[in-house]
Amino acid sequence: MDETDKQIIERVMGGDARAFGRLVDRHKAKAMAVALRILRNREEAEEALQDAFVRMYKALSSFEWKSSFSTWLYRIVYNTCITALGRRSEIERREIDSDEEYDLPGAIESDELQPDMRVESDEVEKIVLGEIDKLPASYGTTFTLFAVQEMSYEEIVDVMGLPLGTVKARIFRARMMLRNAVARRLGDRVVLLKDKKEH
Amino acid sequence: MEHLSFETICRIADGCAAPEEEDRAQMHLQECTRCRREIDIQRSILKVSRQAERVRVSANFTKKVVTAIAPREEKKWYEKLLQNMGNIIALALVLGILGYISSITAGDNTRIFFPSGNDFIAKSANLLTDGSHQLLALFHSNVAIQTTNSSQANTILFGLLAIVILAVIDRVIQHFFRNLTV
Repeated sequence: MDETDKQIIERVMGGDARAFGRLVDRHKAKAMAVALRILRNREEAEEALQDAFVRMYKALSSFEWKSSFSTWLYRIVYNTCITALGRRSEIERREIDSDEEYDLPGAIESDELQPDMRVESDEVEKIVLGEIDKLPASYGTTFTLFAVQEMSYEEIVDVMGLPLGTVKARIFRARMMLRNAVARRLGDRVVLLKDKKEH
Repeated sequence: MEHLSFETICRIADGCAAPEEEDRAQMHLQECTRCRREIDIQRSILKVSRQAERVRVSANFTKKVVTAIAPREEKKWYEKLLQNMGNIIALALVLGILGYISSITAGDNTRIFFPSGNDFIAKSANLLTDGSHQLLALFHSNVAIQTTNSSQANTILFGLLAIVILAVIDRVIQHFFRNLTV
């Protein structure tokens, strides 16, 4: 049976430093998605992620299980990446770390989608993946935590240290941008919504 | 007809709308194709994001992290000595062999005597001596290396042997002492 994060951490705390490798293996891909979303450069993202895991190892003894382990891990990854970003450009750092409140989008104004339009998952996948990369880093990071890491708004608030309103607005705006991109690209197409597993 | 707000559409798509909001939305969705479609789009975007965002990390990433967290302790003098024991023993053996070669190539049928009267060691050493002489004879008669005299041939043969022995002994002893000290 697979060990839980807690069991692995207990082994690490008991002096088995190599068990930490299992924890890294388990979380590195998803954490890399967040790092890459913030830094937009594979080498820098990997370097920052390595730094984040080392920081996490050093701080393990202070982790009290008050929040979930993954929230704590992503907070470290996020802060490490923000620090790395700060070294690169003050403007970029301010852009992603800004807690300025945004208005939530209201009703959908544009009507590119025709009534008989449905969505094909393969095409949506291509469009969405391309468009996620085009999202501003602040929206992309927040959306990745929400959609890929499947975190709640509250957990994202905990990770990013931003007000709930800002987090919600960023996610809604990211979703609106992606929706508009899908509508623009598939506006006159009749396609079918399918579960990916059916292919 | 007033459509659902984008926030409501997202909440319905995520399955986290409050019961009252859900009921109101469901009534609207029975009549509104456009809002149903918007919900489908949002579900699709989320599903695609979850399924498709697979990020590859370089193959040695975990190893790098584990190496970075491993404590780097300064080795003690006897640990350093043990780790180099392979080299020391191999060097001693090679020097011994070279010394022995010089006695053989001098031409006399050297016999080894131990003043302590340890017959076993003396017999073993003499057996080695005899074996070496036989090996040299075999080398001279069968190997097509033309040398000006037997002394040169002996030097080449034992030089090659010394290199092989050095390499083997070093590997074996290094491995043994590494396991002992790590």
